Amino acid sequence: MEITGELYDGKTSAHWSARLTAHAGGLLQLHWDEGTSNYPLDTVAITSRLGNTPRYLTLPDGRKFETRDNDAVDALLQQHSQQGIHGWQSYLHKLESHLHYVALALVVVIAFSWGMLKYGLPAASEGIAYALPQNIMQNATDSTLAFLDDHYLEPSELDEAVQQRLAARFAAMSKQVEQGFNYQLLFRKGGEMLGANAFALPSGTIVMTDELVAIANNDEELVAVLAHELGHVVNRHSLRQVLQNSALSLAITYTTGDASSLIVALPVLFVQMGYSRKFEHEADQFAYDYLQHNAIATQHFATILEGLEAAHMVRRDKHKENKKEEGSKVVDVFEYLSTHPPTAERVKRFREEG
Amino acid sequence: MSDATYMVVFRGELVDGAELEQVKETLQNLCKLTRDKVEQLFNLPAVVLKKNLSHDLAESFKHQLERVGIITEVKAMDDAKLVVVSDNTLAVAAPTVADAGGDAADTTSTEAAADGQGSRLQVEFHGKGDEYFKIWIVNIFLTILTVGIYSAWAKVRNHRYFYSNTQIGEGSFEYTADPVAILKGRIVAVIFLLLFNYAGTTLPFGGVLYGMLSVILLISMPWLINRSMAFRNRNTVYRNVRFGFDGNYGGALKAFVLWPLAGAFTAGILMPYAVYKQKSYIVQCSRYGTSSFETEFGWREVYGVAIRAFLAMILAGVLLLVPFVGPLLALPIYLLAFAYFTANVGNLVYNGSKLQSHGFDSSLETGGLAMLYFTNWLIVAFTLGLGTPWAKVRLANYRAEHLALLVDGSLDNFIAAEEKNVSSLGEEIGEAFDLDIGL
Repeated sequence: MEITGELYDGKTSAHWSARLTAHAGGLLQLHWDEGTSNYPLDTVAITSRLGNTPRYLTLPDGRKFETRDNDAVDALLQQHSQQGIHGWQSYLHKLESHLHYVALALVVVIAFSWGMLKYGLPAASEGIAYALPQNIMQNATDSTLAFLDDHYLEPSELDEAVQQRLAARFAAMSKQVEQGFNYQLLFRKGGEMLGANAFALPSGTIVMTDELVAIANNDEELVAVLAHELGHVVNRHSLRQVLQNSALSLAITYTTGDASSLIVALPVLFVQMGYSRKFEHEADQFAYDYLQHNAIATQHFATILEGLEAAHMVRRDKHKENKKEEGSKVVDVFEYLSTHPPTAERVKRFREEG
Repeated sequence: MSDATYMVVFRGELVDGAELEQVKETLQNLCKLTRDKVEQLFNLPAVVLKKNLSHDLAESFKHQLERVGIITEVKAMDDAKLVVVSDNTLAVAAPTVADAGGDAADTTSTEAAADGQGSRLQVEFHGKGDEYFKIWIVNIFLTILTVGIYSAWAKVRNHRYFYSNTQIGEGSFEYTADPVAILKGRIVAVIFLLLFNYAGTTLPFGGVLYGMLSVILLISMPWLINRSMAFRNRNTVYRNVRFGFDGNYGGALKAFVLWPLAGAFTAGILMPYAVYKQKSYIVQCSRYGTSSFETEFGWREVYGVAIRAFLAMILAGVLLLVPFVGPLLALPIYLLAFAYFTANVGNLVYNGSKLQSHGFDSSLETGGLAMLYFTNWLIVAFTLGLGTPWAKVRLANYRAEHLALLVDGSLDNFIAAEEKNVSSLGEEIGEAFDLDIGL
């Protein structure tokens, strides 16, 4: 057997064309312009095979023999039943080159990733979210609210009496659910960006917009919305969402290596939508249980959800009229990617019971 | 070279068994000398073939000439009674012949041309997307099975794949890092990270601990960067000669901490200067064997690139305010600005760097790079990450296609250095904290 390659002496970068021949008793003979040397095979360190990359044979005197003839090197090692100095690593090439092992690896990796996304990450985020102390949630709430007030929300123009009436109702509600939160109800004007809306912040603060109060037919409908938001609070949804999303981005960036953030944006977006839909269902369930427990007709929740949808439809149409034709397409795409499950589906069970 | 006081002297001796005619012919072809000048070389009693060399280089030169069949001696330069036949290039066996006037220091510098002088060596990349995919997926698979332990071996295999598929001339690059060393570094890095991230929130006096760890991290950052570069370079081998990195704390502190801070405090005005400092620090501290890399690029050129990229960013920012069509126009401009900056700073650094008398020719193009980023993004996004190996191979391919080595003479004259082992601790902690440095 003969392997051809390049010889480097390790003292300078000079190179010689050389060839290696194998002889009885595991003796390797190196031949080059300036002579011949003998080396027992077990004193030669041979790198493990990796794709079709060159192999490097480090000789005991510091010389190095580099060759692209992978098959000849493999045959040499097999003939003398040696794996090279890397032992078990010589088996890696088998995994990396046989299609059925690669297929197995692919299936396991996909199944694992799916399992992590579906169960692992949410469970871990939940664990952490329940362990975090109240002061962290308070900090998060304060900074989020300050940001929203600066950019999206306007001061409420709601009648003082209505505010007090709803606040009293909310205070009573908050005594019935898990304690340890800093429950409070705030009123703001949603304006063009947010319109009729309500949202919960991690520490127990719930913000309700004037526009939402306006479309409600009665206080029970608003109670239903508040129950849904309380569901978000006690289940630590906002905190879990932040934890899940950042862990997800981190994991994807880590596995895809030096990929820019643009690359990970799309898959992340899809997975995040899945998470938020799950949270919406959980909060709906919480509202459903609360309403039933307090003998309030669950119908109210269905009514205000539909009212909300109608209100947003109107707002959107107005928006479209203001803008030119091509703009509307962009808006539609983002509606399609909405984080809430379809209203019709959500409304169904609240109606059935009623 | 501090001790460039040696010369290589030829007294007409040949290696045993070398044919005089053959040697003369080789010399004539190798050095592109006229027959007359070769004859003169052999008629003089003693000729200095090369001077102003360090002892190591002179020895290497002597070694090269021996291969052609010529015996020479390395001598200190104070022996001046010799005919000097010299030029100062480090090309292989590129002696030029004096006009034999007999007097010392009477030199002519005939243009010497050894075997590849002035030649251009294209960098080649032989990796393939499907081949790398198999390695990549098995890496992740085994990392999952071993609860992360295999990740150190995975890293080495990934690096080896890209290094060894990169070829210049007949040699490829070898990545020699020991996975066990990387694993140890990773464990330390993970412990440090856990402490760092959870200290502030869960432990009593966590805030104090967090502050202390931050200060420790900031103080040790220059050290980490130096260690990380040293580990990477030391484990890169080409032609059985290792690369190296001779960093110093002060230099890394200035380039990676102080100048970026100055950039931040001047609203970014000094930031391109910080970029310039970092690139030149990395290049200048790097060496191949005993030969250090040198830089010729200046901070003004970096500013030229940075200002143009910045103006494009501002344009994109303004466009973003135009409803609906704005983002559609702004995103490509951002991408182009990013590609422009990457391509031009990359070209600047490579084209303005030298190793001995060899240069680089980097020709990255803004359009090509932007298109590559965009298509890579499509590949990765629409395969939910499974197309990453193809994206990486395409990037490596593009990089290689636009990089060549401008060889002055030959690449045979680099001398290996004595190397100490560097632990990978610095590199791994650096990686854990996202200190991604490099050219």
